[in-house]
Amino acid sequence: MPEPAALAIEGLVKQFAGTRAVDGLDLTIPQGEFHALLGPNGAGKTTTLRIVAGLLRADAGRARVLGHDVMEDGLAAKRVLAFLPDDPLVYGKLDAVEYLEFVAGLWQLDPETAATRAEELLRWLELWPQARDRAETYSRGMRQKLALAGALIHEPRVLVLDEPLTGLDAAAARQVKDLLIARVRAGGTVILTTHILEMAERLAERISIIQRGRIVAQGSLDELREQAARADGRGTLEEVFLQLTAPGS
Amino acid sequence: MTLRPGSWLWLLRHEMRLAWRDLGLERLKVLLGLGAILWVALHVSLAALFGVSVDISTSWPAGAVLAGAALWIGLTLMLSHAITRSVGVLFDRGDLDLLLAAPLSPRNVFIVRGLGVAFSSVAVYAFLLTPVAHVGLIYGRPELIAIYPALIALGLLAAALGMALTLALVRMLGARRARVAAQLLGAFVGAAFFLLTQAGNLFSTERTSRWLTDALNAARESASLGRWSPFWLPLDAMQGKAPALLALTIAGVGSFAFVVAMLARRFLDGTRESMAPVSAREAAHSIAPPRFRTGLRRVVLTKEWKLIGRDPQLIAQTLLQTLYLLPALFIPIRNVSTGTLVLPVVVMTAAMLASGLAWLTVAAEDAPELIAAAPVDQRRVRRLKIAAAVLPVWALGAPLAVYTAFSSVYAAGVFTLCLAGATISTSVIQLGLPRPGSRTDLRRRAKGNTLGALLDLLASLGWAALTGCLLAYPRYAPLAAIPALAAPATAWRLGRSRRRQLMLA
Repeated sequence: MPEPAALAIEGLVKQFAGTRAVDGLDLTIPQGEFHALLGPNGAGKTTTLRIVAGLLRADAGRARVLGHDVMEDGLAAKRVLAFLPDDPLVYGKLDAVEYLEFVAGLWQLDPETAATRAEELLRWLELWPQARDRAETYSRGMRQKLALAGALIHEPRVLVLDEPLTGLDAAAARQVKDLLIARVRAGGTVILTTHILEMAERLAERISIIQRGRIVAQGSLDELREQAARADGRGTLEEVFLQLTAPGS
Repeated sequence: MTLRPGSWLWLLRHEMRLAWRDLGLERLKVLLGLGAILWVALHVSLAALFGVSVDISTSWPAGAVLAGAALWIGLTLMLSHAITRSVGVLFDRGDLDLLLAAPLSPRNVFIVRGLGVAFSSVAVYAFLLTPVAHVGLIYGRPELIAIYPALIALGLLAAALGMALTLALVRMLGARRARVAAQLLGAFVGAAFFLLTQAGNLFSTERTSRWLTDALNAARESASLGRWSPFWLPLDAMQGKAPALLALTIAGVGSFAFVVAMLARRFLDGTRESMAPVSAREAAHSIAPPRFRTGLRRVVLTKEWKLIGRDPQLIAQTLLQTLYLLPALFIPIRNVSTGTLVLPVVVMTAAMLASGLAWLTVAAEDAPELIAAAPVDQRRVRRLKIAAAVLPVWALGAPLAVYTAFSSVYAAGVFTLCLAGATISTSVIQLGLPRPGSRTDLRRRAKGNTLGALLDLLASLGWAALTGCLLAYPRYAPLAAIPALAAPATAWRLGRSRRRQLMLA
């Protein structure tokens, strides 16, 4: 039996006040892939990811995470998935350890394993010296890193991140990128949206470009260049992206 | 008028504009209209009063003591407001980074902030007292125009003391704790004054007036209220007595100048400290390896209680709301047997308290996406959140139930049942008709959720009435039970689409 895709989306539709934010979107991402989802503002990226994370209900279509339907078998899908929104909110009155203890409780992890994992993550993300300070005293970048630690504490097999580098300084961004690469090397799947095309170009094995709620192009950077009909094969992702998402394309 | 950009007058205009807009543009016209009517009415009433007698101290000797005391109470309230406002300009405004990064004199920034505090502290009193000056001019008491300079001096004094106290708190407690302490201090001074004004409702009118007369007579005869007592200073200054006005002006302007000269640097340092993220400060203490506990129930309850317990401002707001409710509740019961009616009052208060806490745990959840994305039964999480709201209220009510049981087991049973019913009902209303908000909006949670607020009130009143009926008039109990039970049921039914929208269905 073939192993299920990390994410399989078929004919996904979501409307808001009569406007189709997601319009029959199909997308399949195999396990162990670093996948970037690109698109202009309002293209439907975040809505798609929120449906996958079980935060929104789709009007039509299906989304499966490692074979678990997010609508019909939501709990099983959530167990293997982590979702990090673009502006994750952490509890200001809890310190980092307490926050991770709460997240571990939500995912019903073994307390001892979770505590060890929490320390590892906080050390890795260089938050350990501030682990007992309340999150309200953290900078935006520190809060972002804490939220990322929360997303990773249950060692998700599929990690979905919406603009994970927003607000991070260069050093913190590097740490996050290293961590994501390590997840993929360990067999995990990382799916992210980003406006930093250079990041997608350097990290992602495959890229999907979404526009008006549909995937308009998909593949490796070379494949995208071909789709954008750049025969010279030297176009940057930015040039390819702009060409594929240009009005009327 | 064109002001030189960057000058302190230019900054002051900016400050006034912000203060003005804080009132809310949508309310501005209504406020101005009502304010103008009230101000004219004040002039007319005072004119009638001046027509009878122009000298309060000769027509009613105790009145002078009362007026003097009122001014001191007013000064205390000004101080409380100045502390709260200082905290606001020191910590909350968020524009100091911009101002301090600009090529402006930090001292000018500090002066303008101080003047803003002074102005806002004295505004209400100016509204109430300036008509006295105007009417005095007409009725041959031109010296009462001294109310203007006296008010300015009082405003400056309150601002200087308020800012100095706030900075002293910063020095003692650190910026973050000082913020909370100053807010609590300001809020409790205000609440204490409010309760004082409600003494007539809390006790019988006869008792209050007897107590007041005795106190005034005792004060009048007291040696501490001699001719040169500082007690008379604000009153004398406002009546245009030159030495008092001069002393008050020196105190006001002098203290403000002193605070500006001595504390401007500390003020700005305090601000920077409060704004600096922890990474910029020392955080190098040794940390023990974490030990996690297990179980969804434990982690949800612990998290909710920690978030509330670690926010003294939130606790103060919740308790103050209840405190402000108390005098109103005593109005209808002061002539009735207290024993029977204390329990309904407590039930209603508990319902309001549970409602506030449930709003915090359910609607003001800081990370709803985190919880929604977790592989747990969301209904169970919501039930736990309701438990987190009602359990502390039950714990507060338990001693009264035990105490009541010594005199009547029936009354204790009714109280326990109604307390549980009331707290669960108002919590269910918060869950049934959710209106997400930020924890800081606790006091304004009814805004945009009028239906929820009305049902909340209806349920609280219904359960209080049901308690009273079961204790004193059992035959009316079914009637009282209708609103008590209908309110949460209505909220649940009407809130279906709102819950679905928020994925809480």
